[in-house]
Amino acid sequence: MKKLMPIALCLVLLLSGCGLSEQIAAVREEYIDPAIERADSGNLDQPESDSVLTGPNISTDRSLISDVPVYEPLYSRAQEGYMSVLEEGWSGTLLPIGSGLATSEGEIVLDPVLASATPAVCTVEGEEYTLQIYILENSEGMFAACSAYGDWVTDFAYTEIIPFELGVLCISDAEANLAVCYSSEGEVLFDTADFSARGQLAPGSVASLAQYGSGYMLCEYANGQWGFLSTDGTFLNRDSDLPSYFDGASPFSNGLAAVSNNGAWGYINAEGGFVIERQYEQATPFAGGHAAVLSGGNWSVINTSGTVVLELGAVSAVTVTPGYIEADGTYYTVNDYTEAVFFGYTGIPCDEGFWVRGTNGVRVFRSDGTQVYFSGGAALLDNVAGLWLVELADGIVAAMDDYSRVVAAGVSEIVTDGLTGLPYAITEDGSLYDSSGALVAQGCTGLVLNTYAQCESGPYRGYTASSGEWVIRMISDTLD
Amino acid sequence: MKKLLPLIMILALLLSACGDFAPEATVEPTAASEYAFTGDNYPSVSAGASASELARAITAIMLGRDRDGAEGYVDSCTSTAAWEALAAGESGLAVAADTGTIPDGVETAAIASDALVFYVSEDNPVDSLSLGELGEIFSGEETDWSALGGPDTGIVVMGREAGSGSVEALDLLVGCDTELVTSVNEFETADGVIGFGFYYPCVTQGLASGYKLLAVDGVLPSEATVASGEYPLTVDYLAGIMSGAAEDSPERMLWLWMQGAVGQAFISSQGYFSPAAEVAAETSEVTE
Repeated sequence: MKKLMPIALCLVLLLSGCGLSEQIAAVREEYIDPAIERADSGNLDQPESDSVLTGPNISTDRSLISDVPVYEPLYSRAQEGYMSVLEEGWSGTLLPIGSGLATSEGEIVLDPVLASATPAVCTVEGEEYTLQIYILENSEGMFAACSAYGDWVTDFAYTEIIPFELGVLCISDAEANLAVCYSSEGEVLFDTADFSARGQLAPGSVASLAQYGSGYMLCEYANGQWGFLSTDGTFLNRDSDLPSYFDGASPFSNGLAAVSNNGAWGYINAEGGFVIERQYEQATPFAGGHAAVLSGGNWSVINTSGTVVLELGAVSAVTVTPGYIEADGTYYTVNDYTEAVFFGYTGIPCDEGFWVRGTNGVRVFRSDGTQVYFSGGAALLDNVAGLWLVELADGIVAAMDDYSRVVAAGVSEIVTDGLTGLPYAITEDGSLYDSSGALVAQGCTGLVLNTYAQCESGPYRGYTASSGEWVIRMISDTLD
Repeated sequence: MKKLLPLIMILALLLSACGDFAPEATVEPTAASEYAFTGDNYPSVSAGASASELARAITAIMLGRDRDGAEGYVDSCTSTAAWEALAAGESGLAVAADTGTIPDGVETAAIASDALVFYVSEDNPVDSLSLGELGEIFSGEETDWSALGGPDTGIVVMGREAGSGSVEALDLLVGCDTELVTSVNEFETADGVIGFGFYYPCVTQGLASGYKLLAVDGVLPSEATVASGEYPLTVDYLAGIMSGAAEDSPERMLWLWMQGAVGQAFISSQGYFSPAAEVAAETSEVTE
């Protein structure tokens, strides 16, 4: 038999049309590679010839394929057993993860019992403020509040929680006007159950208490009139000769509140006295030191002294913001009260004033008289906490700072830290940049809490620190 | 024999170089590869998420890319959605768990197998459950671990997406309340949790790391027990194309390659179990 081998080999080579390299390649593809694969996988048995088909020979290139990725979560648990109630006294920042909460030290402190966990943010006279409080909702639709740092927490005892200047107004019974106000430190600032005057409020009016300013909350009396309630439960002017009931009222802003009696509107201060006597047919709340008033069928804009700074005539509606005044589609500046036309360009309103597109860029005319210029800009898309979202002439959207420096390009959105209020630019691919242009996270969802960025990478879901390292990492794998 | 070896080598070299028999010097050898894929002719692949790593790996070697570079050709979804995408013409080839409900006109072949596994918190003292007990848990009849030798804790089922291969397998092999097992609560980590899924993603890829695997009827899922069939709950991964796909179409070539010796060896090298012998012996099935 051995003697026949050389002859057989020669015969095979001749009959097959020769081409040694072809033969070697074929043998490698058909027999050697499979054998290596089997050896690599630990399966040294020969394949059963009748159970495996001979597939087509397809060119493959395995030089770039890496090992099968293996995943590992990163977390610990604060307690054994199911944690359906949030305890107090954790260290670090609480981070919503899945439907539960964890600390920034990677420790789960609440199992997935939440429908949502939202940072409480309030708006005071046009500016947003973060409160360092989370509003938690459970699967039964009840709400609780807790410190963003785990220092304090309420029960899920509330049907609604409203953030406002003082903290969070936690309403347990809206019809009965039962609500508790917690400060960011967890202190109970007031509990309407302690208010002897609570019975004078119109049923269901407690939510209006969140309209706070100058130490007073707007409230509606049971008789349909309006007044102002302090946090100690006393009504403004109740113990004086000044009016404490008003036919109409708006909350305090810029230190003044618009009130009306017998169809005439004026403005009172926090001492209850009239700073601007009742004389107007309509009056808006102050914003940025200005308010719109209607007198004799004509609208005017006044300042906090009551002096008319802009006469608008018989327009149908007027809007006053800290950045601009608008009347029937015409915009006016709030510093010189002229039509918003700058060097022949009509201004487009934005939070800080107006912007125009010039020949070579975008210029912003702020209401304080200063300007910002974005060379190469085609449009101003947004302005959040000091970062500007600018569409450049070539279509790229960039985040830019006050000095017209590009913080990041390809930006989809400017987001703010829910606890610090600091701005970040997030690009279309999820890269997160701080206001100095430093890359702080990749795969970011857009949620940032006290500098911890919520990120996704493959099956991982969790938070990274500003160093880019995961502080907590869970695996989301429910698809198949 | 040793004396003949040099002679054989010389003869072989002479023959391979001789003009009439040798291939043209400029012609690439073609006998080894009948077919080559490029980014243009590679079929779009819909894959059940548990088989998507395999689909990506195959795509990577077919196109000479890394795993990330193969992402764009593989749509990872539930197994049911993968089959639906194939039937709808949204993909040319599907690789997914055998859900038992393959759409009409799809030609399938088993290319790998997997096992349905169950996992609980590492703190849970329960190590093994019978098929009957699993059925009671996932049908919602049993709601507390204390009845199963565990802690006095409610059972929290960690669900998966409706239409996922593991839900379909759970329904077929164990029986379940679909609403209960498709109620997805992410990141359950507490004592009372029980999860389920396929061995490959859960164990090989570590997606259930941090949990403890349960034995079923006393058999712990492992490479050995799953490969041998000793572990009772196994499922096939099927590759499927539309039965009308042309004989020389890219999707059929790829589909046949997966069933062939080289393809099977590669699939095995990726950590997937070989399909059950009796199934692999059948060339393919066509649903009607």
